[in-house]
Amino acid sequence: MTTPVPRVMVPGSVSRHEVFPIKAIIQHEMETGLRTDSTGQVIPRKIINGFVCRYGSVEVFRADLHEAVAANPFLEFYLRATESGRLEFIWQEDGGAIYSLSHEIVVT
Amino acid sequence: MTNWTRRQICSMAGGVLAAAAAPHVARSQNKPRVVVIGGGIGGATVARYLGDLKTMDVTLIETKRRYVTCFFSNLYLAGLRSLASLTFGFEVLTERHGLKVIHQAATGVDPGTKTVTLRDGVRLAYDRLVVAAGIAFKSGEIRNYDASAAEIMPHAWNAGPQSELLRRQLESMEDGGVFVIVAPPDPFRCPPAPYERASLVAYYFKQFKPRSKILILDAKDRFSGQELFQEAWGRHYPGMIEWLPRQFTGAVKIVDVAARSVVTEGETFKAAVANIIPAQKAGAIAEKTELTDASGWCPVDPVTFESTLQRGIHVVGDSIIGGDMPKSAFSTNSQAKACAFAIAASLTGSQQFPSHLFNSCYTFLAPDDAFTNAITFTPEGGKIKTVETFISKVGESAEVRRRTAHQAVGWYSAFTADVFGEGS
Amino acid sequence: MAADASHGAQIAAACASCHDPSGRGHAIPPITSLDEQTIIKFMHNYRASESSSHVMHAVALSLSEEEIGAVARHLAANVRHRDPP
Repeated sequence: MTTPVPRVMVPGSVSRHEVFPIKAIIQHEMETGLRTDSTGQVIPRKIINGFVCRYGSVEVFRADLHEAVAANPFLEFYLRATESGRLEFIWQEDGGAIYSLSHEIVVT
Repeated sequence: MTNWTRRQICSMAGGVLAAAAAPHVARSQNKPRVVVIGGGIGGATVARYLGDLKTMDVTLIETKRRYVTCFFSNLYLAGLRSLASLTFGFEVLTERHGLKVIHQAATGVDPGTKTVTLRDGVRLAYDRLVVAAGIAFKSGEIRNYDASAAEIMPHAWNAGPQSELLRRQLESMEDGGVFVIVAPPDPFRCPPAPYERASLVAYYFKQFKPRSKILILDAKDRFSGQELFQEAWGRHYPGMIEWLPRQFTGAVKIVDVAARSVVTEGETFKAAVANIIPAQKAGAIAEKTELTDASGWCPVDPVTFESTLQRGIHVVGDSIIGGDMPKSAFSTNSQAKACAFAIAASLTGSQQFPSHLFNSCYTFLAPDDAFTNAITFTPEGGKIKTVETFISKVGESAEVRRRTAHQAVGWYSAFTADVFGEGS
Repeated sequence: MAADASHGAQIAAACASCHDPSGRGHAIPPITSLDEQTIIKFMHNYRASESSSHVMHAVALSLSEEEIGAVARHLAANVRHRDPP
């Protein structure tokens, strides 16, 4: 399995009330559970099944991902700037592992 | 200022020798005359197959005395093969395969009078011309990336000095550094090669610089053999290779040579070693001869490989609009044979039978783990179309992959003998 | 290998992209010392199954019976002996 490496692209500073883009990607094979190995055994499913973004203490974006999502799932979404604070990004993997990143955003 | 194409470079020694050889060419007999510009895989294959027939007078024009194959050069970058083992001369072709080689630049083509002008002013008349121009790089797509930048941030997309430069940089890189590969937009020479390069450099890092990372900044959102590569990266080099698609980075727009960094739409990535593979187009002599269309590549008839823009001139290899055929050495070799038999048919009255176009590539994931594909093509409605595709599968046994890697080495020696002559 | 432009020679040109003409085959077997019927039999087997080599499966599927016959005749007629070392 690839060691999942998450990455986000967030502007360093934005004006109050500005709508700004967030891009998030994680290096992940998204093993579907539908493939077999050379001995005919099913390779167990292991995908990123969920993604959450929190702005301060508020959950502002959530996505559920399924088997049909390609490797290295990429998400792009928009937020409206309210106040300076912490953006937190959380990827949930089958089996319970969590990968996360956080990012301080300055609202001017 | 940008002087990209190796074929524009003329060595003085080559010029003098060629001038001495040229009168011999000029007063050649009554056989039909074929001139081939470019001694890479396409040009050498056409010349060799035409030369073997012994019914035509065949002259190959190539500036360089030695050709280094791009295929297998990623093994060199990983320290698994010497550059000498990838280097071929033209002696066997001239001694055993009935053709002449002039080591000089072709500076111009006049399709009206059917002549090629060489750097020293000598003109060669032809009945059919083959232009195997290879690739050139599009300038301006990545700001600041020009010929002098390539001496700091090599492309290594023509094998030879550029490969040596990149190898030296990888060898002197400190453990823990980031090797950045900027992968080009389609279409480009050898679609799996940037990712094979990442795999084999990762193999080198794993042994000697295990804390190092490889970051691929791609101009595309997907790539050739992606599933096979990503599965292998997880298995052999966990956590070492990161691939970022265009949709995430917006693609590389600028290089900062002094800082050795690359700049995308939203971010600057600092590299210990940077390998910039730029967007590509047909080689300079193809453009100059007006064989290219607005796409920058050469449209051809898929049966004869005659240019649809210039009658009497054939084009093979990476510089053509190949339809479904990828730009690979194997595709080029296959096109070159069909082209040679088409030229023989038109000049000597031999028959051209329905052509079979193939591509088969071996791609290394590690020295003992390779995958392969096999694709058959057919001309249809003026284009080259895929008939069938077979490709190695994710989850194949280690034994199958080892055998494929072993076959790759055998294939290399047979293939280069086919191109540069038996015994080369 | 293709010293003529016959039908067989034109197809055999494709073989030479992988099979060493001098008969030194490592990993990819030499085909320069096989008789006509053996080549035809091999091609039929390759056409029937992908398992032994998907490259040869692709090649065999792309050739008609007439083409297989032509290339087999050409290869068998141009049998070469291993070059002395």
